[in-house]
Amino acid sequence: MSTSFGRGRFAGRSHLGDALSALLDGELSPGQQETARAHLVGCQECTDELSAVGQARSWLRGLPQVDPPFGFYERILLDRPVVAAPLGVRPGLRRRAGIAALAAAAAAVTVLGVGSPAAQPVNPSMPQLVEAHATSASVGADLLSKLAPAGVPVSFSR
Amino acid sequence: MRVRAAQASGTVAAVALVAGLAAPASAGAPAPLEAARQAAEQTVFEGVLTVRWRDGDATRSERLQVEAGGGSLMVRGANLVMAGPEQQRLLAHGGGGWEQMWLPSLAARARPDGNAKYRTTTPADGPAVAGRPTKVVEVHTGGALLERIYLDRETHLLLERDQYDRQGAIVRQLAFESLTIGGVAKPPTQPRPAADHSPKQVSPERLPSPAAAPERLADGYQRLGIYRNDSVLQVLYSDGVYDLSLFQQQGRLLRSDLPGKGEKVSVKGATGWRYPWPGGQLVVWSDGGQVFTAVSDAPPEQVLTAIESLPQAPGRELSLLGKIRRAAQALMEPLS
Amino acid sequence: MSGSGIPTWEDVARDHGRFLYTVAYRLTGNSDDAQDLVQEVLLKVRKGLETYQPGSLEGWLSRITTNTFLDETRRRRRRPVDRLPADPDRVLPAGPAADVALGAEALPDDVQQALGRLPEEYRVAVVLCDVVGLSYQEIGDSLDVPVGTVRSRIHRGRALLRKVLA
Repeated sequence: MSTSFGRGRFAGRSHLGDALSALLDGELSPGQQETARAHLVGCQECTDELSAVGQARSWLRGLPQVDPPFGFYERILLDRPVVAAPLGVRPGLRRRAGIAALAAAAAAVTVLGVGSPAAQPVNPSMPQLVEAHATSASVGADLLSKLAPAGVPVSFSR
Repeated sequence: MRVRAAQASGTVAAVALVAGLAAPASAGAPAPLEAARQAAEQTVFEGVLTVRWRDGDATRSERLQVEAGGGSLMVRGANLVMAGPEQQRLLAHGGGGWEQMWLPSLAARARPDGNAKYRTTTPADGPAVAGRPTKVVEVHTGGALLERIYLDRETHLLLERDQYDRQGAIVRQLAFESLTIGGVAKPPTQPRPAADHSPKQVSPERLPSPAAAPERLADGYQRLGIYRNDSVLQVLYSDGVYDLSLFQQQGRLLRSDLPGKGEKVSVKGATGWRYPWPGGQLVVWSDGGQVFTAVSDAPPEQVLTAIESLPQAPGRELSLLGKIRRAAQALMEPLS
Repeated sequence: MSGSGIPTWEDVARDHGRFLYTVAYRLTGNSDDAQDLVQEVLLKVRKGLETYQPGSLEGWLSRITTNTFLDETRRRRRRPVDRLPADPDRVLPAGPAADVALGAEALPDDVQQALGRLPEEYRVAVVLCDVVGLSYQEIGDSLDVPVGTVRSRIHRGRALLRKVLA
């Protein structure tokens, strides 16, 4: 029986197609629901399709809430960021703010008079600190022992 | 002591090397390290250096190419590091431009006499490293073997340096795989830095409070200088053999910002995290509204002892446990 | 909460933070991008609060979130990700209907991964419907598309998801 739902793609016979999802989501009028259910009785393909999308729907609706990393909102509420990092920037790059960039960010927030500087979260850029140490400590000391290790970029796995 | 003047070292350098090994140097690193220092600054050589370090249960390693000559030394790894004449230090991250890291105008006090804390053995004949005969020197402290240093018998260039833990296992190693002395095709030339990341000197009297920069830390660490790079303060210490930088920034430390695999340590009753890097240790903790990061090539126990001796940060809030302890003490006192 | 009944952006961050992050995470599939997206959204929330008409706050937030997400994905060059065809001919479960009927298990991570493989338009429709719980009309208003398009995208998104997780 032809219906006014979205047409399925099976040549010559119409199926419920996306009306099945609408049925599951309560988006069909009572009259349309009746027609759909009547169709399902006689149609194995649509019944199978209903199971499939119904399962997917159920899995999706069963997904738990996700919590952001600890401190994410505290940081936002304290920082009141003026500039947000754009999406698509490689995470490694974004997190690898240099000492100067970190300081500039901290200074900008302080200038805005938001919170005391001591309350601002500060993320020490370890690779940069290691490089600063290695280069300064190598002065007046054996270059191979003190400086060469800085040739290996520091990467701490998360 | 046979002086191979025909080798790449200049006559002056050769004499200095002889003098360095024959008599203890003036306050500063023990003689073998001093000799190695001069050799690295003056010898013309190129080679491949392997760095190995312990990271948790694993040992990591990286290979670096080193070229030296004409007063410059260049290390080529994923980072390029360059030491130029007169204390120039430059660094380039793979694919990036050169950054100025240290300027000759920045002063640092001379290192304290390492012989006060460390006992170094007389150089003895050692095994071949990178195909070259060596002299081996051991560094001991408090009766424990800390390091073995292998110097090239001819030039006193450092060929290998192994650091041991209390159990006698190697925790860090720097060793040449291959080395050619003399005749470097093109000695490294000083590139022009695209960015200046060198710090500014800070005099102790003008230290912004509540920064901590005591003259001495436990275990013989003496302050060499105080430097500032934007809002990060660096206090450089040395005990004559090892150096320790204490970085300080105002702010709070969020655990979620820290890389995952740090080892929890205790610093003055607070929690800190320790991370190894190819050249040593890094410990980060927060106290009294400041975030501290200690970076050092000293063994971990030394680093922890040294930072434990930092003065208590002013206005530090006691942890809940601290408050309970203090209350308990107050209760106990009338009874004692 | 300010007296006028219009929340401040801090209220939004505090009271709806988990919700915002959940939507952002389901859309982007990873923590870093989700954090970036939430930050961007809160910025827009700050600006948009002045013209906000009290109503479904979560609907309004969802709209900003998905539009911000879509703007960014259109702007940025696509990473070569295994993308499913946008127009499946006929969608039937690969396995026997029996285990579908039994309510097969699917781990959240697997579902999230499958979500990530959907074309963005389908993913957004499915997230707004099944994660946020908006009606087709609300979704249509958010995305500025007709209800029929919403319905079709939701259906195909779910069907593809089921196919991937077979």
